[in-house]
Amino acid sequence: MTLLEIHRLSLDLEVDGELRRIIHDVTLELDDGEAVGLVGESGAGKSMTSRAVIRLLPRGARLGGEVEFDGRSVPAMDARALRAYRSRDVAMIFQDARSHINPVRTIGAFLTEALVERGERKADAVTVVSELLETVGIHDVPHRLRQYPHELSGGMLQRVMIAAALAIRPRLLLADEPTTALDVTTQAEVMAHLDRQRRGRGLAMLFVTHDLELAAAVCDRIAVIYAGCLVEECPASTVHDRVLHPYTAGLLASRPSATRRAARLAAIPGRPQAAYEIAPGCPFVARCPYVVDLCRTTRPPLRLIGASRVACHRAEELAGQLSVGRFSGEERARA
Amino acid sequence: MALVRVVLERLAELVLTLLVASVAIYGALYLAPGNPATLLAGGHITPSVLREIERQLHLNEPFFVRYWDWLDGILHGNLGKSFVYRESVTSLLASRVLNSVYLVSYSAVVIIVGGVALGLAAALRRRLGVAITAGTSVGLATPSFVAAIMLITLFAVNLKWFPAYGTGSGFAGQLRHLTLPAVALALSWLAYTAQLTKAAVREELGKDQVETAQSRGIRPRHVVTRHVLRNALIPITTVSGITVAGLVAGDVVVEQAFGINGLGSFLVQATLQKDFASMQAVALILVAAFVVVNGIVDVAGLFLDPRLREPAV
Repeated sequence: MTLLEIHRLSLDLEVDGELRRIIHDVTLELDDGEAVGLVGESGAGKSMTSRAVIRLLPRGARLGGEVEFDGRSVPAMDARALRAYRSRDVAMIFQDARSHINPVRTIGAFLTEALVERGERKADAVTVVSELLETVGIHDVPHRLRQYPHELSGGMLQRVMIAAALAIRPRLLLADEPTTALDVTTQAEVMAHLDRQRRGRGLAMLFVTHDLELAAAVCDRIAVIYAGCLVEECPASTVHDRVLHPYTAGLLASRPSATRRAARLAAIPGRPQAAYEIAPGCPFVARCPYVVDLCRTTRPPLRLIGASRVACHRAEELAGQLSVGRFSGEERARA
Repeated sequence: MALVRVVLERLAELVLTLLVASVAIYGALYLAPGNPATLLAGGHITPSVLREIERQLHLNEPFFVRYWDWLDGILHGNLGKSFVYRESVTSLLASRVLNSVYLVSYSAVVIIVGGVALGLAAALRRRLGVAITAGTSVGLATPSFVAAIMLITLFAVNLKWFPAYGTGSGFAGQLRHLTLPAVALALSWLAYTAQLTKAAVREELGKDQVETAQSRGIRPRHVVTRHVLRNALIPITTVSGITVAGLVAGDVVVEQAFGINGLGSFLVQATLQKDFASMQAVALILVAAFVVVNGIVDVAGLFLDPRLREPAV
């Protein structure tokens, strides 16, 4: 059953008095209990897409298209409905827990705030969050509840944030790079907790990350976003064998691999482009090694190919040929 | 634990500051021109009479002996004897201290309540913010003696809402009499506190914890009280402390302007009459008040900001 439906989402932000396009066109669906990884480079609009779902946007933002949660339009909600939606249906896990948790209030106050705010008894809320802290591997709970954020490590704070998100018993988790700010060993541990709790509770999740491999490991489907456009959406299981968009292939090639030996790590040529910079054609045209004239003039629509959706004119043609090597240093040197 | 430590540290600092201040105050007046003995004797006196007076008052003793006598007296609750009033300074001050305490407290309440309220309104309501910023900029530039004259002209002479002079009797009477002086004393500090509050609240509004609270469906009212104002209180309290400590000094001008018989106007009279003992005592009390207020602010900071409670590494 479809839980979240993002249809032709666009977003403009006011920068220095003029509107700037941040998201061009994102269409995405999430089923109940399904995890979708939203992958892209910095500034691609992935974070803003997740924020649009909870309508947590900067002042002066203009939203186009539709976001429906369980059949209800999020952009159309009034203040009261929006608060109810945020406090019961959807929970956001932010990247930087240290700045997102109020430094002058206790961990206990942070964890129970949302529950008490929606009318639950304080004592009940404490019971709920205490159990949750244990399940995400935080012990000595009564002591922790009385501590302040600066007394906890980054990894612990992020687990507190996850517990706070789970506490409201949401149906959808929005995780905005939840482990990016942590060191590598802590990352794995925190991610494992998040993944286990999400699967155990059957929650849907929109997982925003720049790490395609990580997304493929914890999500059911992957949506790749470039310069504010959704360019490819595919089952997580096919990411390694069969990607259809040159950009996705480029992302895969630029990850170090344990099996492939390379003198130099591959990079996608050029620099990431912002949504407002791109021309009418394909957003990836400036950096794509497979460009033809059509790409420069016409923006490719999302097309269904097998179990994937892809926005590339040459998708069928290139299927199977998109090699990791095309982006790697050795091959370009040879050409 | 940290709390006890800080309170003890502050107490030690208070004692040390007062000790240093007492040397400075006593030393400054020791070096000041004018001999209390001549003042006391008045008119023509023979050198032998002068020496006799000096001997009685121990004026012929070396500086540190005299300073020690003075300090010893203070430690035993004896602030010395006024040559002008021929009365002990302690009893002269007793009736005046309260007037000043009332005035400064009243003013502090006006500053903190008014400044924080205006600053918060300015930060949360953009249009209102512009007006408040303009108004407080004028207030900031108005010295208390100018404010005093304007307030007296408008509210005491023209509108006759408040008395222009004296301290009144009974709680209501005192409140009425002290309103104009308190406002005059508060005005520029109130403006300062309002601008600082506005800046602090604006800064907190942009912080991530506010975004988190909003994403969890917390009511705007609670977001402001728990995640904006609560955090902004840290800088607001620090500055309010400095402000209130500064009132102790500003008090001198306003007491003169409104004819309030308090410490400030007493200090002015004592200075004009070269009443050394009284000057020393008042100066020492003002320093003590300043240090005590700062100490209270430091302790309040510990309650407001848990990060300060960590022992320094």
